[in-house]
Amino acid sequence: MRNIVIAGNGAAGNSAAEAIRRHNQEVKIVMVAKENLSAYSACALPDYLSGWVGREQLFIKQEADYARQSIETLWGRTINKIDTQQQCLVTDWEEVKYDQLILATGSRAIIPPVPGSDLVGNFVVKTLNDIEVIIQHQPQQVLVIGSGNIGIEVAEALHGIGCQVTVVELMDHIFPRLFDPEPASLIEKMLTEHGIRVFTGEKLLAISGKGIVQEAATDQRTIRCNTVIWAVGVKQNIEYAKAAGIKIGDMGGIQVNNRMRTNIENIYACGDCVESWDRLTGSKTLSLLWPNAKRQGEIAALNCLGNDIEYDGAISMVVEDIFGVTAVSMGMTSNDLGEGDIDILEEQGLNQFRRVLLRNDQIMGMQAVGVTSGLGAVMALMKNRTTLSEFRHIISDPDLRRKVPWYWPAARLLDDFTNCRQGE
Amino acid sequence: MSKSTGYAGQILEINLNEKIAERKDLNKEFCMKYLGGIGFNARIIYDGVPVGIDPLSEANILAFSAGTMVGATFPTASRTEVSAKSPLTGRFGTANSGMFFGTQLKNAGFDSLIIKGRADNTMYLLIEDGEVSYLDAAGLWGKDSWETIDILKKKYSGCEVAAIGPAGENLVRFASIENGYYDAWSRTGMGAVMGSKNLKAIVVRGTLGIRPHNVEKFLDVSWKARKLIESSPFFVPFKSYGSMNAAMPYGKFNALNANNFSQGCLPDWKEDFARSKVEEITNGHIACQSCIIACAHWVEIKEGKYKGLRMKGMEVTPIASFGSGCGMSLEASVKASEMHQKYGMDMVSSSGVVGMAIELFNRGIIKTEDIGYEVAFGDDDAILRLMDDIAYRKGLGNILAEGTLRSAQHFEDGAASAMHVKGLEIPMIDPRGRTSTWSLGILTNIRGGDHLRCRNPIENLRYNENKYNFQKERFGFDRPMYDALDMPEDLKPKAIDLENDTTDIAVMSRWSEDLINLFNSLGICIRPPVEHKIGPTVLAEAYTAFTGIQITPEQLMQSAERIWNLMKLFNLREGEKPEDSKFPQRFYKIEVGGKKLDEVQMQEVLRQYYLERGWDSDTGIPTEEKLRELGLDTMQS
Amino acid sequence: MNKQIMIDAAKCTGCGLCQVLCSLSKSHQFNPSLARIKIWREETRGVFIPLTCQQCVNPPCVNACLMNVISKDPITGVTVRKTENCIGCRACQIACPFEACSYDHLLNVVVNCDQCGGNPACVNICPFGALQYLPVNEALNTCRDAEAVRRANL
Repeated sequence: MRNIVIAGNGAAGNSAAEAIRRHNQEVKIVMVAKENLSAYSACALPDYLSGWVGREQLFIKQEADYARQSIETLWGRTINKIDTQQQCLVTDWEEVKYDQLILATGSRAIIPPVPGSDLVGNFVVKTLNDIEVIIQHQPQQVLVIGSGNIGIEVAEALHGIGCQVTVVELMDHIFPRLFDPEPASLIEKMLTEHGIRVFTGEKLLAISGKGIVQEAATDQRTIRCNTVIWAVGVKQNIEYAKAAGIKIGDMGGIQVNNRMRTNIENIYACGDCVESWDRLTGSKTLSLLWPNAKRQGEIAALNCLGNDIEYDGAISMVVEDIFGVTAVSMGMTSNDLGEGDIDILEEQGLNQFRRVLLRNDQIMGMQAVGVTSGLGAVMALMKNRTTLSEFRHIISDPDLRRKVPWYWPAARLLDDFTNCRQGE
Repeated sequence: MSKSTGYAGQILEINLNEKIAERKDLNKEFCMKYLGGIGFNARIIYDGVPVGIDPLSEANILAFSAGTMVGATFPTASRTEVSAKSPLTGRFGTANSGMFFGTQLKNAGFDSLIIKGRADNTMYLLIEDGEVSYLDAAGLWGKDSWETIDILKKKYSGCEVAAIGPAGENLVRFASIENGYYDAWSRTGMGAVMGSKNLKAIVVRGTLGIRPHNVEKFLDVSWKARKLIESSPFFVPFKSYGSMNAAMPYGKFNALNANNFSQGCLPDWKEDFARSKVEEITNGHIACQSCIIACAHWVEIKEGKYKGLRMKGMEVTPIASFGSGCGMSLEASVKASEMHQKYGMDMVSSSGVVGMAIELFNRGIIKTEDIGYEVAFGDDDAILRLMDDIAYRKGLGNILAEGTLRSAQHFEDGAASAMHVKGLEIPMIDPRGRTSTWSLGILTNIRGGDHLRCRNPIENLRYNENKYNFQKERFGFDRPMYDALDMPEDLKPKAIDLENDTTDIAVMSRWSEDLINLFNSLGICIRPPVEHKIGPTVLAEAYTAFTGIQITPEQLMQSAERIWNLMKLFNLREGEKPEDSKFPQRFYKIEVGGKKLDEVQMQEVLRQYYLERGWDSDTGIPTEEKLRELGLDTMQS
Repeated sequence: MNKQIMIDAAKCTGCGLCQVLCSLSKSHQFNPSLARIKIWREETRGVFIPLTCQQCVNPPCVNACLMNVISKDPITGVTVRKTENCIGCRACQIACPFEACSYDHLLNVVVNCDQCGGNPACVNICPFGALQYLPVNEALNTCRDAEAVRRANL
C-alpha cells in the first residue's frame, strides 16, 4: 500500500491530508509533527490570549478526527533527517518509510540577539505553548517589538486584558508589509486613541533587568516593562531538508515548482517553509498566510496523488480587526510595487480609508480601513487580472453587468475617489 | 409588554433643547385604542400640542410612527406616518410614506419618535439600536436632500434617512420631509416643522429585530392577504402602470386640474398619454418594504433637454400636478419632480401655488416686475425658475412659499384663484369632472384638500355619470366584486346598491376614510388592489397573530374611527368652522366640460356624511354620544 | 441533482421580503440584519441586487477560514459551516466575491445560505421571480436562454 508521509500538522499539512482523503480512501497517511497536539488555528492565538476564544475552540481537529480519516499521527517528533535514497524520514523516535513525502514544517518565530533578549519575560507568539507561557508570566507592562499582523493583534489582545501596551516598530509606519503609510497612520491613530502607545521609526537597543525583564531601551527612550513580545519575523524550518540536499531558495524557503515539487523525487513541500511566488507579479515570496498554505497543501496533495494541478501563486489578503474597525490589505503595497508607474486611487474619510493601487490599469493591491463591502469582488478582479477599464466597461453596460450582479458592491467600492494620483 | 408583540415596544421622546431622550413603554390598552402609525400620532399630537400655538414655534411636536405591521411579511406593510400641527393649514398636519424608514425605526427599537423643542444649533439625529446621538449638522445645512442623504448613507451604511432640503430650512410652509431619495412625507408642511426645529435629518438604523407573537399564524395570514391582493382585478394594471392608471380616465372625464383647474383636461393630454408613456420612459419596478405590487417605476429621460435624467418616478400625482396643473411637458414634469425631491417641497402644494401665480399673472394682477420674468402655463423654464424662487424664498417666491391661502391675501381678489380646501392645495382631481367618493374625500379630509385619505375601494374608472345628484357614483362591477369586499354585511348594502348599480358616496366615504385610517395605523399601503381586498377581517387576524393582542374586526374599525374623531377634535380645538368644508367657489360657479357642482346638493352629501359619522349634521361636530361611544368624551374640542 | 438559487437582478424590486422571511426562518425574528440574503441597493440607479451564497465549487471562503469551519457538503454541494468553531473573524466575509456571508450578531458567527435544506424560504416568497431554485444545469441554461431571448429582441 502506498504510504504518504506529511511532515507538519499546521494549515498546509492538514489541508494536504484532507485533500488526499477526499480523493483517495486507500493510501496510508502518516502525519509527523513536533507539537504534541492535534491541529489548532495559529491565527486565532491572539484571540485566545485576549480570552475571546477558549482553548478548546482553538482546535480545528480532534484526535478522533484523525482516526476517523485513518490518518496515523506521530506527534512530539523531531525530524533528524531525510534519507532520500531509502525514502525514509528519520525522527528522534523512529524511521518512517514513505512513498511520497510532503514537507509542511512551517516556520518559527525569531528573537534577534539583542542584549537582554535572553532574560525571563521575552516571548514570541507562534505556538499554543507560547501563549500559555505568556499567560503564566502575568504580563503587565508589555513591550511589543514589531508591528506586523501578529504584533498588532497581540498588542490589542493584551491591551484588552488590562495590560499597558507599547508597540515599537523599526520602520517608519506600522504594518510595514501590509499597509502604505497613510492607512497605517489611520490605524495607528485608532490604536493610540484606545490607549496603546505606538512608536515608529525606533530601534530597540537593549533589554535590561535582574534576571527578569524590567526595562527596555530604544534609540529614543527607555520603556518600563515586565514583558517583551517579539513579533519581528520568522525563519523557515528547513535545516533537515537542506541537509538532505533539497534545494533552498534565495529567500530561505524550500524551492518548489508550480506543482509544489522539490528538486528531489517524491518530495513535495508547501506552507510557510516554502518559497513561492506572487500571483500578480511573479516575484519570489515567502507567503506566511493561512489561505495560501491551505491552497499549497491541497496542490501538493493532488499532485502527489498523480493529478496534474498547477499552483497559480500566492496572493495576500489580511483582515485585521482594530477595535471593531475592519482593516483589510490585499495584494501588494506601494512599497512592494516600488517607485514609478503605479496609479493610486484613494479616499479618506473619518475612520475610513480606501486605496487602490494600479499598474497598467490592473489592480495590484487594495487597502481598506472601515470599509468591507465589495472587497471580495475586488480580490476576484485582482486574481483574474481584470483591468479597471474592463470592469468599468462591464458595469456600465446593462447587458454585461446583468451577468455579474455581484460586481455592484465592487463598483461602489471602486467609485467616487476624491483623490487620484497618476504614476509617472 | 412582552418581547414577542410585533411592536418594538417603546416610544422615544426627544427634547432637542435639552438633548435628552425619554423612553416610554407601550401598554396594551393604548395599542388597542390607537393601533400604531397615524393612531399613535393622533394621540401624541392631540395631547402634546398646546392650543393655538404657532406651528413653527418650538412648542410644536413632530411625531414619526411606523405602522404596526411594518417590517414583516404582511404584504405592503411599509408605511410610516409623520404628524405635527400643520404650518400650512393650522390643522392636524400629517403625511404618510413607505420604503424602509419604518422597518429601520422598529429595528432600532421604537414604534414612534416624538420630537420636541428646537435645537440650539443645526442638528441631525442618529437613532440606532435604542440609542440616540445628537450630531452637529453644520456640514449638512444648506445642502439639498439628495446631497444630505448621500453623505449620511455613506457614513452610516444600511441606514434610512429622513431629511429636509432647502425648502424645509427656509420654512416654506409646504416643505416636505424626504424619505430617502425619492419618497417623502410631503403634504401639510412637515418639513417646515422639522426646519423650525433646526433638525436637518434623522438617521435610523437597527438590528434589534421584530418578533411576531404567533409566527405560523402570521405567516399564514400574510400569505392569505397576498393571495387576496393578487386576485384583485386592479392588481395587474397597478403592477404594470402604478398610479398612472388614473391619468387616462381622469383626462377623459375632464376631471383633471388642468391649468389651475380652469380646463378639465389639456388638449395634448392624450387619452393614452400616461400609460404608453410609462412604457416609453421607464424600465424596472421599485417596491417598498414587503410590497408585492411594486407600483413605482424607474424613469430615464432618453431625449430632449432633460436627456439623461434618471430617477424613481412616473407617479400620477406629480405628473398631473406639473403636467396638468401647470401645463408642463412630461419631461419637465419629471425634472420638476426631481427638483422638489432635492429641495424637499410638496409637489401638489407647490404646483398649486404656482398655478395660482400664473393665473394671477394672466389676470394681470401679478405683473412681470413682481416676479422679474414672465410666466405662463406650459412655460417649463419659467415655472421651474419660479419653483426655485419659492424654495429659496426669493422675490415673489417668498410670498408664494406661504401657500395659496396666505399668499392669495397679498393679491387683489387672489382668493378667486387659490385652489385649496382648508388651506391645503387640491391635488390633481377636479370634482366637477367626476363627483365620487374620492372627490368628496377632498372636502372631508382631516388634513384639508387632499385625495389620499378617502377612496372608494372599488372605484370604477370606466364610468362617470353625474346623474345622481352628487350622492352616488356608478358601481359598475359584477356581483363577485361586491362579494369579495371585506366590509360588514350590514353596511355593504347601504354602501352599494346592487340593484341600481350605485355606490353611496357618503356611506362609502366614511367607510373608506376609516379603512384608510386603519391602513395608515397598521402601515399598509392604500393602493387599489390592497384597498379592494384587504379589510378588517384579515387585518384583525393579522394584528392578533402579530401582536398577541386579541382584537375583533369591529374593534379595529372602531379604533380607526376613534383616531379620525380625535384628529377632528384637534382641528375643532384649533378653531375649524363648519363653513371651512367647502370647495373653491370656482367649482360651484364655473363649468368645466359642461359641468359644475351644485352647492346645495354638495351640502346635502356632506350632511349625509356627517350623519353617517354620527356627527351633528349641520356643523359636522362629533356628538357627545359618538365621543362617549369612542371613549373620547373626556377630550376637549 | 444539486440545485442552486438563481438570481435575476433585473427582476428584483428591492421589496426585501426575502430578507424578512429569511431572518424569521433562521433567527425567529423579522430582522434584515440577520438575513442570509442581502439586497444591494443602488437606489440612485434604480438597481437592486439580491446577493446570497452561490455555492461555489471552489469557494474562496473555505480557503480563507482560519478555523476550517467551512466545507462543501459532498452530497448536496452546499457550502456548510460548523458554526460552533467559528470565531467570527469575518475573513470569509471579506474573501467572498458575492458579498454572501452574513454576520449573525446574535451568535457572533458568520453564516451563509444553506438553501433551507432544499426548500428556500426566500425563493418561495419572492413575488417577482428574481429568485429561482433550479438544478445547477438548468440554472445555467435559464441564464443563457434569458440572455438569448433578450438579445433576439434587440
